Amino acid sequence: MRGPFLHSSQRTAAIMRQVLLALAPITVAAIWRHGAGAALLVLAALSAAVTVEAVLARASVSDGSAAVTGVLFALLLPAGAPLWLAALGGALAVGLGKHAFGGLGKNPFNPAALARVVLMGLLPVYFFAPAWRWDGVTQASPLSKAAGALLPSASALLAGDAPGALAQAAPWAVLLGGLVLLLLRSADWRIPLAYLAGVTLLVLVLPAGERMAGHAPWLVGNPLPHLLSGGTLLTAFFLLTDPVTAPFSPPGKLVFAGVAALVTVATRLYTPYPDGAALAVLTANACAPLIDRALVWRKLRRAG
Amino acid sequence: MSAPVQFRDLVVELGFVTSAQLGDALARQDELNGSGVRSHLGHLLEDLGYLTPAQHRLVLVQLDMQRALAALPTVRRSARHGWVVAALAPVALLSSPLAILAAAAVVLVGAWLAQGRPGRWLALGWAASVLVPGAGAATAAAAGQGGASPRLRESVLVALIIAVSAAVPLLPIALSPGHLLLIAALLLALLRRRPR
Amino acid sequence: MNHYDASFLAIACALMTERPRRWWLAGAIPALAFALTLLPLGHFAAIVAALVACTPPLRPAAAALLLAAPRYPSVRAAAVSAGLYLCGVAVLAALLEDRLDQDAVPAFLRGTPARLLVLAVAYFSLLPVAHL
Repeated sequence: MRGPFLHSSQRTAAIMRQVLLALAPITVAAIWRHGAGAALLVLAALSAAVTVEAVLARASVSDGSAAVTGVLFALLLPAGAPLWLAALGGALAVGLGKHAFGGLGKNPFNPAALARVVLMGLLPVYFFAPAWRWDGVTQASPLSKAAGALLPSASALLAGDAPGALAQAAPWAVLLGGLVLLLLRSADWRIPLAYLAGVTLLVLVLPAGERMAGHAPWLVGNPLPHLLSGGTLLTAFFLLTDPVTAPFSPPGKLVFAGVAALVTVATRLYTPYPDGAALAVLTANACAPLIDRALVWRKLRRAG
Repeated sequence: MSAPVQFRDLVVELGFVTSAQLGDALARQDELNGSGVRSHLGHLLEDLGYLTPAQHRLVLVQLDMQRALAALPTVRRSARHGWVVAALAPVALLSSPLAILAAAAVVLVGAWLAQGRPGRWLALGWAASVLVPGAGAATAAAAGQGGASPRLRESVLVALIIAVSAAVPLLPIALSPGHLLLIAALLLALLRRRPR
Repeated sequence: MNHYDASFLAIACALMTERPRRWWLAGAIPALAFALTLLPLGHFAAIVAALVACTPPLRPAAAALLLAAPRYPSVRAAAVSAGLYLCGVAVLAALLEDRLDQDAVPAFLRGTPARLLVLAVAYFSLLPVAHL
């Protein structure tokens, strides 16, 4: 049994154009909020991803998948990340995340999330800065468990008025892009819905971890900062919905989203990591084949 | 590989019984086997008064040692064993002299106790590495010795994983198993790309 | 070696070698290793754990030995290690068998390197588990 591969290059190109269209408001909002630095980060990741794609598989450059991967990776980066990191990540996403496993449609993990997580493991200093430069002052992310972290108001969170990754610059833009994807039927609605519902439910149910004692009390029992900060929305609409790395069946997609929600919330509540969204994507990707197996086995047992 | 050493040969070779006495005991054993009673040759020799209990124990111990020694040439004869040892050499160089001695002891004692069973080799090597702090080389050598078994690839892989993990704290840079797996994958890929 | 690294190396061992039929038995080793540390055995606790890990039904599973290697500070650490090993092997075995199309992988990465890459990605993805 192999993954649900996309064979039609025209169909792939059409889907990728739609994803790029949906990513446009997020990119514009990030550039508007963070200035030319954000534009350069997106450009660096995009050009590196496309260059590597051109070197490894010239024919598939025009389908736009490398461009989508590059932009998605850039949006997962902290606003103050160096340009070389964006370029390295873009190249790694396409080279390691996609072509090392056989190219488009055969990658077991989401390439952008893979590059983010591998770089986070190799160069943690760029992803675990204790604080972010924000509006001229140093602040901690709302998801940070470090002393000095502050919870912005709900309106500020929705407007993206808090330190974080590029995608966090405007949660409303991510929601808008996600809606575009769902309306164009480029993504299955079950996954974002189940993921966001799962995050909400788990935050309401799970108790605080030992590491949170005295820090960031707003992260416990309050779903809002979890939904509007970090990579939650981008993960829900853009990273988990990649059909290649998700399970095949609708019930499988719900379980898949549930696994991702559990990892996201558990990482935020019980580990020192500020955000577990990209890690959750890869963990859920790894679980997808087992979910498929379990559901097929259950179906066969019922049938016979 | 030569035939395993037999009790009947050893007891005569050591001079504890004569060939005639052995013949008596074997005839008695055949009789008993014919009537459905299974008996050990050593006990029969004792019952017939040809062998003392102390001599009997000595023959059994000697027999075990002979069999362990017989297993050693199979380790040496394995052509693949050479590169297992070569792969472990850098780890040995990174370890302390005490650790290297522990590795040598594991190899010698292990040949006797573990023979060709990788699991036992691993247990021995690991026990040595616990007794001699930092004796990663001992573990690696022991696991590598498991190469005498049919599951050579497994033993080598386990040996390398444990060896490199044991060596990591000795290196001046911080590496996790995740880094090591990435490096291993890239090295293997590079080696394959090299034109032959 | 901390218990996360040990669990992960055990997963790597179980997936890169011929997996024994009862591979899941090794999941009991962390609990056993922790229980042995409660006894006044000193260094011998580790040796006993290593020897038990290599008992006949588990002999092919070098993974068991790796799981016996770290010193588990608490029941929770032992439970996390066992859970990580059991889930990790089940999940990654399915991933490697069902989703990694070895024929599509470039020739120089086919087989072991591709499997190692998947394991490396999984290591970094599950890193927060080390802090549970």
